[in-house]
Amino acid sequence: MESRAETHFRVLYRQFLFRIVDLDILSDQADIVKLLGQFAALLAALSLMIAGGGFRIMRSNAPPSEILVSAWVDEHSLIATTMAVVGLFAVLSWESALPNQRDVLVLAPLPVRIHTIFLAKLAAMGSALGLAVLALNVFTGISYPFAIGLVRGHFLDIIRSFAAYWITMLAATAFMFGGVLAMQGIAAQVLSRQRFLRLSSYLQIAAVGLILAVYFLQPPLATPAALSTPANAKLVMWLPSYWFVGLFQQLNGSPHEALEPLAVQAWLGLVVSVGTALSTLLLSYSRTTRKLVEEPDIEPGRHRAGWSPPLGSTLLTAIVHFCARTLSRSRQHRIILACYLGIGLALALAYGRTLLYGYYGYEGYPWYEVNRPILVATVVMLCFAVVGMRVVFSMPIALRANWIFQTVVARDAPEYLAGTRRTLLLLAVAPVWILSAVVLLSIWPPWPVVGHLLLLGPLGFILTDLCLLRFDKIPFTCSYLPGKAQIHVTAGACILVLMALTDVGVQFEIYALLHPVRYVPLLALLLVVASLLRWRASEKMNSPETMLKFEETPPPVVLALGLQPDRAFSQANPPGLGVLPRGSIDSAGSGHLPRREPANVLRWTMRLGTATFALFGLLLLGGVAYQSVAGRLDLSEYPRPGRLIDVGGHRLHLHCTGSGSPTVVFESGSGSGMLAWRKVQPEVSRWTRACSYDRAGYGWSEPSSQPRTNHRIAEDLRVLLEKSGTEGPLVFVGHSLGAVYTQFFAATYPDAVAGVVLVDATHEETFEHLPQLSAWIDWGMALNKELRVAGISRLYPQSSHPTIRAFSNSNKHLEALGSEEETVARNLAELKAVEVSLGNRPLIVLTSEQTNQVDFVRPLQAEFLTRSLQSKQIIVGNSGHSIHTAQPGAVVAAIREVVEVTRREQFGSSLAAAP
Amino acid sequence: MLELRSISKRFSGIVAVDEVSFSAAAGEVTGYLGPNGSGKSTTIKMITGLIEPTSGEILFNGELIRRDPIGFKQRMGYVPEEPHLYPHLSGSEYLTMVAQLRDLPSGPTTARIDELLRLFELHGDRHAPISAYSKGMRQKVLLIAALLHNPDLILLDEPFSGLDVSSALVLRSLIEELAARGKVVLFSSHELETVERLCSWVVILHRGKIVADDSVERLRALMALPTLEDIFSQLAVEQDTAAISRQIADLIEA
Repeated sequence: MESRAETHFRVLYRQFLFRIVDLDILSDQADIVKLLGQFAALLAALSLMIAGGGFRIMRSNAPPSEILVSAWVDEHSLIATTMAVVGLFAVLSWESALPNQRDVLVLAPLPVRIHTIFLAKLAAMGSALGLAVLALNVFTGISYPFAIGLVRGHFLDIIRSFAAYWITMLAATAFMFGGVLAMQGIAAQVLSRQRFLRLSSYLQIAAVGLILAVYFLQPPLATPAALSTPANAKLVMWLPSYWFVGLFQQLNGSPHEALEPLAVQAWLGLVVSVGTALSTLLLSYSRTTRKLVEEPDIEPGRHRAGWSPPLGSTLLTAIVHFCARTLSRSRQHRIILACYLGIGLALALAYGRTLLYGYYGYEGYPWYEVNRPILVATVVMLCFAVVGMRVVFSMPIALRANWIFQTVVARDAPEYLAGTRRTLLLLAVAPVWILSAVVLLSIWPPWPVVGHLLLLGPLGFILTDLCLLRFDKIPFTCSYLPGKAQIHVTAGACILVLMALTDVGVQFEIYALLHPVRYVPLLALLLVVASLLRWRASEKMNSPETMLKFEETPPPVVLALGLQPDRAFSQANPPGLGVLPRGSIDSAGSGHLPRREPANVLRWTMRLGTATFALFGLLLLGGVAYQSVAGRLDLSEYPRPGRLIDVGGHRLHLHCTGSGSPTVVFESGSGSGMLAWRKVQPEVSRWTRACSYDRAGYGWSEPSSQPRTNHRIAEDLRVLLEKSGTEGPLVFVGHSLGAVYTQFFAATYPDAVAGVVLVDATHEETFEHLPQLSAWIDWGMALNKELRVAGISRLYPQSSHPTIRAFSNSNKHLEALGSEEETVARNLAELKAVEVSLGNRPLIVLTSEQTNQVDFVRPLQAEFLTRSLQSKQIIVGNSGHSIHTAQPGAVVAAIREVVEVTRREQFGSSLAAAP
Repeated sequence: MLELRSISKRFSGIVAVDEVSFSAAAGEVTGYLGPNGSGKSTTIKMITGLIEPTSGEILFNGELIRRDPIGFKQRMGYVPEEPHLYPHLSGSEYLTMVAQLRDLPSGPTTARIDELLRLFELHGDRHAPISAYSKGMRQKVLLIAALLHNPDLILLDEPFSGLDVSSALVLRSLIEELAARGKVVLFSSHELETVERLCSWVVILHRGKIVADDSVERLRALMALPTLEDIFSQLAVEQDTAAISRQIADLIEA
């Protein structure tokens, strides 16, 4: 027989479990179970997407110790994601753990003990949290520990890995959740109840921002090389996600000296976090429960300034003030708006990551120059602010109080709708615009900022009019259909489209900002679109059929019973302002209510398909037009650093600096020119002569009509060096595909080459190891080549260097790139047939850590070492494919080593270059 | 004068108001009575424009209100039965908003609001949110909002609900004063004593139909009953209240 306490606990646990989400966020009729189910499904889908990484670990051929270390990156990513999700869950269930007045008022008169309520709440929260963590790790929690355990070789290791994984995840969860609870608990103890209630919602919003910022902006430090620097070692002590990587390694029995202090930090953090949370919660329950009924939730009013700024006519002023006060005083509306702003912030921060840490070999942007991530962030925040505010406008504040708007009528509907529009502009567009202005003006010079703001303004107007096209309501006064708050799959697709369009638009904008003559048409286009939309919206607003809406659907009793109005009466008495919901009386007097037709999936699919097709067609045409104009490169705008030398039919650009011997000759990769070496050449020039050049069609070089074969490229280079008076010995530095040309040159003109440095070189057998993908690559390259005429290259990650950016999007460059790509396969096969051998000449192979993680690439990189009797390989950390831009110091050091060996062999002694 | 001519309201087979015709004259307080579900509130909502009549006409000072609904609403003040107000606004903010919605001039209206709050003893709480107001305080806010623009027609649906004794006395005097100044006052209430004292004319509704439309004195004489409560009980009440009370007490003791 269940005791009374157990019965109370069971009943309360069920109630609290289904109330775990902050009730202020949801409407009374929201289907919480369905919503939570959708969240869980999303988390599980995310887990499934990430789980594939575990299989990648299993298939790796590297030594186990290397695999375990390289898995840190994945482990950190999983832990950080879990902590972020838990943190957001904690925000979503804000104050669920604390006693609230509603519970006290309902439960206090009943024979229920306080500690039963406390335990039931904790149990409910623990269950919900556990389910969330389980959903997020359901697939990764199997694949990763299995893979890591398998790498170590013993069955017991697999068991241990499973245990270590789940204990770490639960510990990270407890730390994160406890931290958020502790923050609330401390605030609840320190502040009076009314102040805490006022501050609480702002703390909630700040927590969202902090969690997202830390998740997206924390640096990638999960490698031994990164953790070994003193600065990073200090930094990670402030990043909890790294602590739990250390904890995992400790529990897994694979400790590393770099992670041991972090494991200790994790245990300490866990104890402090959970301990503080529990103690402050206990204090809350014991000290404040009785006061909850006595102390009102709202602070008594203080004297407030009687003057409120007029914002147009009295009606407009009334509506704007009503909306502003509703938003500032309704926690429900603020939290929902914060959710939308949080998503926008997450997207902006994800872009901001590229600002700080670069992207696959492209170095990060300098923040003090006009850059894409920051501009995209302002546009994304504007979009989400407007959309979020529009969504929030749909949610009523006090439905029954709407009678005042329906009975107190001084103007027609269009004037009320004008008030709605003004409210959206003032509360959503203006704050983002002003904040953008403040931030951008503090970091950038005036012109690009003013130019961007002038574009952001009309964009704000366009978004406002688009969002209000079918919104015939005063904000916060119309009923809201229950069950509307559902997570739609289309939302993700819309976000992707938004990000893609924003990215393209901002690139156009940056290009236009650099050339004021091109800026004016862009601004004019936005103004025209904004004006057209405004005109369209005004037409609709001033239409005699426009009525204010106060009910989303007619009252159920009318729908269910089929209202049959008196036809004669309806014809003689057209509906007045705000009297009835639209559609409740058929204006044709047929007496039938308009039925809601079920969604026609096929029709909507065709509409969507047509719209998508039309959109892409427009984009394509626009792109072709734009590229044909913008792709023309005016070389006079970009003064060349070197000189042009005729190599027979076309002139190539050569740039030599420094003096000394041997001369270092740089060969850049596919699609690159001599500017790729801008961080390396000056350093090398300090102790020897260094020459870089642009192959035909790239940079400042003229295009060649000849196919870009190994022979042709080598011949071009030979003639270039000869005519420029550059004599041996020569040390060649080749990057990526440039390394193929370098090796071919060395094989063709062996006497000219004294040493070689290969920088993330492309091996001639690369495509042979990707038999399935090569067909895709062919297809992709062919399509890509066709779309270049439409400016598709502008969508790809761009260099932060303005000259490189301009060249790489020019028609001349794209044609040269196309020609080079056509001969890649042939050139690789040719090099393989040649069988390069450098003999005793020094060879250094630089391989990026990222490249080295690819299983089939590792042995190919190592194979380069067999081409010289004096060879070595250096794995360069914190770098993608472009080591010479990400870690130029490593390249300079390798060149210096080869140069010194060459000098020793040439001159019999080491000539120490001047520092 | 407010005149209802054969006003009906049907909700698909259910007749809420059936061919109701009566008038409320200026300078008089007209009582509008009926049990719950008689169609009283429906009638008042039709007059205020919250719902539309199925048939019939409503005239104010000889003009059809449907011809100029905005103009009519500008001359009408309405106190609803339930004090539904925006809880997040303060009393002062709510009244200012109503004044702005009525397009009243800012300066004089602010002073008027201030003074009315003082007279209704709400001045000290004018900045507190309405969610913190008692029922009586909310009722006062509704009254002020209804009178702010000096309406010619005043519709009061259970205006005494929640008021304390002194406020009720003030309201009673106010209703008389407003009528004396030539307003049309239509007053609906369950407090029959107050209705009897205040109203010179009474309309009683039962099951959507008018069962009495006369002065209180004439009704007393016609029905030979001493009080309005007796008249109302005879015309509109169907329950044996004593029997029902006994049944409830028996049930809870079972």
